[in-house]
Amino acid sequence: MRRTIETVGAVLGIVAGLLLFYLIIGIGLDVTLRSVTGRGLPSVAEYADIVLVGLVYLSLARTQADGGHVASELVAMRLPPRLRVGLELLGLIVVLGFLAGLTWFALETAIGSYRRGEYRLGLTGALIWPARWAIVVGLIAWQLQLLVRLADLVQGLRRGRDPSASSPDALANL
Amino acid sequence: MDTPTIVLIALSVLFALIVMRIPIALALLAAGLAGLLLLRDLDYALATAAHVAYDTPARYVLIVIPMFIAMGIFAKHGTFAQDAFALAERLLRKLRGGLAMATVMTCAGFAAVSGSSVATVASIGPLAIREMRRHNYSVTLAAGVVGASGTLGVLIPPSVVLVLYGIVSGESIGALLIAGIVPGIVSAVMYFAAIYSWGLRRPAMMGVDAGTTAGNEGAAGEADGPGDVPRPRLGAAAYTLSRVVILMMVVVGGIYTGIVTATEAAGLGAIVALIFFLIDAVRARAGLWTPFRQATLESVSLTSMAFALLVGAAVFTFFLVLAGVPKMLTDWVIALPIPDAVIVVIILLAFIPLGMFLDPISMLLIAVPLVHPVVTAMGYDGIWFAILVVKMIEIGLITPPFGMNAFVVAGASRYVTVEQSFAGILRFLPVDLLTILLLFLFPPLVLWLPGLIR
Repeated sequence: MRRTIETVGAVLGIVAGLLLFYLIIGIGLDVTLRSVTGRGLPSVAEYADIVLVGLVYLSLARTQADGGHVASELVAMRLPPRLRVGLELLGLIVVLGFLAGLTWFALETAIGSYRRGEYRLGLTGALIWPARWAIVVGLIAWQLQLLVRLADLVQGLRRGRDPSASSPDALANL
Repeated sequence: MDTPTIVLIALSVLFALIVMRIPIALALLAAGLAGLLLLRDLDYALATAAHVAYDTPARYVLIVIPMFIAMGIFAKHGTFAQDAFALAERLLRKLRGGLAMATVMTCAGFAAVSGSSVATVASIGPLAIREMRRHNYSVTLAAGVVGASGTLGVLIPPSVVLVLYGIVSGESIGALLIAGIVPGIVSAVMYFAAIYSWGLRRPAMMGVDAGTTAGNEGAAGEADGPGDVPRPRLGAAAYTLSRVVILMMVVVGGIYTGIVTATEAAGLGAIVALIFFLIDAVRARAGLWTPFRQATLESVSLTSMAFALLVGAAVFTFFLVLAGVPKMLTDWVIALPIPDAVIVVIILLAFIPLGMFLDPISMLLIAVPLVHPVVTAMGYDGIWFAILVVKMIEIGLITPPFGMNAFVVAGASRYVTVEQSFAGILRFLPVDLLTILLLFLFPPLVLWLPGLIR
């Protein structure tokens, strides 16, 4: 199960990587063409923010698996391991509850958007619903990855050990 | 339940979750949702968050973030750091403290292509510390120079931190990026001056007359890697310099001249950095696919982390605005019988303790929506204040206990402990505070350049 969840996260991460390249190459081409010929690629600009939504949400699970979401260890590291793990477990249950509610609402929005064929006014009429579905898929994958962490914490609590995976070093490149 | 109590509960939820080691993005999201739930109801809270989840990242202007991140990551994975350090070392090696100055210069140059503080330290640290140790520099000075100079990464454009500041405050991202240039140069010059003066007063720190001081702070002349930094040939030096100039011209020049928007400049910068990365990989003959895959996934992961924080902060800020907190705070602060300048100083100083608990981005996303309107309502320029805040955030990067740069420096060389790293970096703290004082007293240092494009 853990392996499947991590594979899903990894595949979504690769899709996000492709979307990143779409943005880099697309924007580069758009700007270059516009300066040389006076006409760019309107579809790039119109789809860019929609692609960005996909990039952001589809990579959430992989980032979680890599310990990339920034967390503060400052107080936690001064607590005894069992208490530290117990508190994180409690906090994780709370945020998973909120995330589940958010995903439910995001799903309703995505279904409505798909049924309406939601698009943005513009030259190309860029479709918005794929981005809304990317949010749902990304949030579900993230929650699955958080459930893996939850399972690790439960095991850690039983053994009195801290299976720490979250990292305060995620901002290393910002 | 009255609004102040709800705000207090939401803040308590936020800090409790942070203490529980929950990712800060999720802590912000949950605290914002809890606040909205208490202020209205659950359906309203979740529906709002679902909209924010799409509306926050779905903005063309935000594409600048993954582009700058990719640009920095490609620069980090290429040979830019080694080439630039070799060049700076060649230029400055004759001066007392020349290697330390070369480190500052390299960090400033790397900052101009990466926009990342810790990436700057991680890329340049191992090389620079090794060389300084080989030339008998004190270990704390070597660690301090790298850690402190690395902070230039968040100030000199392209800077992701400045972009995020622009997003949460509504200030022009282009103007903010341009505004970072002069303060970045001033900071580097101040580091140069400090190194020069230490060289005069305590030459032993710079490896001069090392025989009398070698035992002070660890054995002198250690090397944790192979020989000297290779002396660059003229052609190689010109190639290194041209890469910095081209990337700066594309990004800063593009924005400054108005030929392209900040987003387009970032996109072009990412492409140029990608081309340089590919050239470096081909020259190194160490394979292309693995570093390329690593760089791409690293960029994606950092983008996701930054946007998760942004979405969480957007939900939390939505709650704060709905509760009327920024307005209440502004009214309260303005009514205080204290001179406005003192209030600004107090706000800026508040970032120091905040930096002890939060990382720079979280600090910025939580505090700026609250304090930026207060300061601009008092009539101060938002761009000027933004640069001061970013300088204060830099201090958070070097002060204990969260001073991330100190940990990265310690990890960069097996001869530097975290304690030595903090000791060395904190030597630069008065220099940074003096720079902030200069920028505070002379706003044109910040506002002159962006004023030309406004």
